[in-house]
Amino acid sequence: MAARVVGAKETAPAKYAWEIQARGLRLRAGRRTAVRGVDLTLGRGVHGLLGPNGAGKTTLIRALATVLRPAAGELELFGERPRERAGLRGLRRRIGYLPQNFGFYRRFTVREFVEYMAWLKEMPKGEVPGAVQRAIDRVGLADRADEKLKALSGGMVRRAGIAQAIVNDPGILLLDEPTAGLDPAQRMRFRELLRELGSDTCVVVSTHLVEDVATACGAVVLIDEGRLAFQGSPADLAAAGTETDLGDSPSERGYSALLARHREAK
Amino acid sequence: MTGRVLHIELRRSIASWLGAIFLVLTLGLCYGLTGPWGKGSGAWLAQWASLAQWQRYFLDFTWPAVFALGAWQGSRQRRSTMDELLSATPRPAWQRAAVLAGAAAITLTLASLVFFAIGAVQVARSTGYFTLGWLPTLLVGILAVAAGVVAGMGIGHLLPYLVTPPLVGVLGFGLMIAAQWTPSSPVPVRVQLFSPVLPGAATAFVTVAGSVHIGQALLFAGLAASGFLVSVVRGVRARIASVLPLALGVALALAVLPGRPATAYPADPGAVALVCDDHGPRVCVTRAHQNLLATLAGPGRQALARLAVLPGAPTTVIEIPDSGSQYVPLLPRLNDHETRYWGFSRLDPATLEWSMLLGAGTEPCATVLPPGAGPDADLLARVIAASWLFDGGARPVLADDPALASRGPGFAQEADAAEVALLSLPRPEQVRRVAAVRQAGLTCQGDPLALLTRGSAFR
Repeated sequence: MAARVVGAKETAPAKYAWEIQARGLRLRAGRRTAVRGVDLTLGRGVHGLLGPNGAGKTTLIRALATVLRPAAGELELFGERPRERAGLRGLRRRIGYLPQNFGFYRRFTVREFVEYMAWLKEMPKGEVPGAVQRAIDRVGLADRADEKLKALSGGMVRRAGIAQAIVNDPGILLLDEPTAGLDPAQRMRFRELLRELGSDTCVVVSTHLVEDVATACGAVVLIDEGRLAFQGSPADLAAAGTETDLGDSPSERGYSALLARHREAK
Repeated sequence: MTGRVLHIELRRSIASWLGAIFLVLTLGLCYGLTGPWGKGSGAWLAQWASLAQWQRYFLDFTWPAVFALGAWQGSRQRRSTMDELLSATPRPAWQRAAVLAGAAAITLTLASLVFFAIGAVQVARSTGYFTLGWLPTLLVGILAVAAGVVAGMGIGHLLPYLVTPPLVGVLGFGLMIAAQWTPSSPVPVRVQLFSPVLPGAATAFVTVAGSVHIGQALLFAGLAASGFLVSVVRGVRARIASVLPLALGVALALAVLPGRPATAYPADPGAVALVCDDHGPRVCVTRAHQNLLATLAGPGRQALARLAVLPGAPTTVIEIPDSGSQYVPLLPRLNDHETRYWGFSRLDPATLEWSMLLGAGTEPCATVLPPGAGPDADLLARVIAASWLFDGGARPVLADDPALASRGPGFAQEADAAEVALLSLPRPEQVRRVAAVRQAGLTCQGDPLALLTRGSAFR
């Protein structure tokens, strides 16, 4: 990785305990209440967000990305509430976001697109070229950096999406199904990147793939029907399952068991 | 950094295409087609002000295209499903929209300037009359085009559907047609002037009123502001409110724009002013044609020398500003001893002299029928008089006027027969009849052909 100057801001001690803190968080997706009272504290590290389709994963990530306003409850990012306009702007500079339905300007090259996003994230001018190159290097697109996005395969576009999410060295990185479209080799490289990022960033990765979580995440958050079903380590997840539960690996069996238990409890 | 992003948008948005399409379309129209812009004293390459006015004329076709392409660009965000990603970024939406609109405005401005520069090289060679009258015409035109693309972007952003750009293009073209300048249009002149299209310079001697420039500038500034706001604001109420700048622009424009064509396109006193050569009998041209004075002086004096055989012969040649009507000269005539020279198409001395001898040095009085409409009594008398003065009947009447020769063999035969009849008369009678034709031309009374062939004003 290229050496870079580390600003005083980055090394300053944080004034908050957790990057993400939610209490009784309720979120609406259209008319439906998709998240119904979630308490969550997430710090640095890689957090795998698991849950069946429609559990509220995307809705939760959208709220963390400040796109969606909470309907009720409290949400603090970096110890601040994403409410007031001026404060919101400052918060957004420190967030990286890869939406599930990742859109891009087809005629832009990878480098141009990541540069454009860096500009939108209001990065200081002098830092942009280096940060862009670093982000592209990290997702392994250095040799395709000057190709147009429309010329790239689905997996490469996904990686370009990850590059734009990490370009501003975010304190909170939100990746909604980042591994969709990646081939096995790319996925393994991506897990490595996740572990690397998790050392100084609060990474939230939503996925359907339990294996991704088991191998790349330091913590697991399982939500179901808008409620928190489980929060713990991947080892806890694996330990929760028994041979009778559905699944091909300990983590998958744990996932099935926790989900079933959560549904029974209701 | 904004500069770098502007550079990206210039290359990757529709901006670069926009400028290229605008320029190619405009050049294709004016060079590829023949139209009123190539004719008369106000041709697009004849005068500075004419160039700028004809450039505005071509907006009839290019403005709707720009409007539609703007709508296409405006729908990019939605087409690319970038909404989600963009709404999580801190930079205000207006800065994003401003860079995109700026890129489009830059290329359109460049295209407009390039077109003007291409024309200017030729105009500089063809006229010695320079005013800054073209500048506001050009600048308001650039503003109108920029406003068009920004308004298109606003509509495209608001209605990001595939059908929006073509519909916007058709709508724009319909508006251009509806507001097109025609004397009989039912649309009030003030509303016609809402169009970025100017009718084009009919002659070298008209200009565009300052009130037109100011009114249109206010209108297009309002349009641009509304288009920009629509691209930026969120929520139904804010979007409705973003129409306000346009409404204000319309109100101000209605207050400022003139209500009559004559006020909107007044005469240019600088262009009409005379420049004279006094080394010998006086020859004058308008200042718009001042660099033709040297070319005209010789043939003009030659024509005066030939006219000297007539009683009360003229002693000066003065150019009458072209009225812009191909068939009816509208400017007032004076019954004095001047030979008035009206229009010129070819500049060889013989043709110039011939054209100054038409009607024994007078302007046509009646409507000159368009080519193919059959023999025209007035015109016959005028060309026979010119032929008699020019070479005393040594050559066929139409030998020196291919334009009139195109009227068909009947016209030429009638002309030659009439000239033979004239030449068979005694010389004093010939002089008397040609002098009578001149008198009829100056006063517009009597039938010049009857005067020429029968010696009386009645047939």
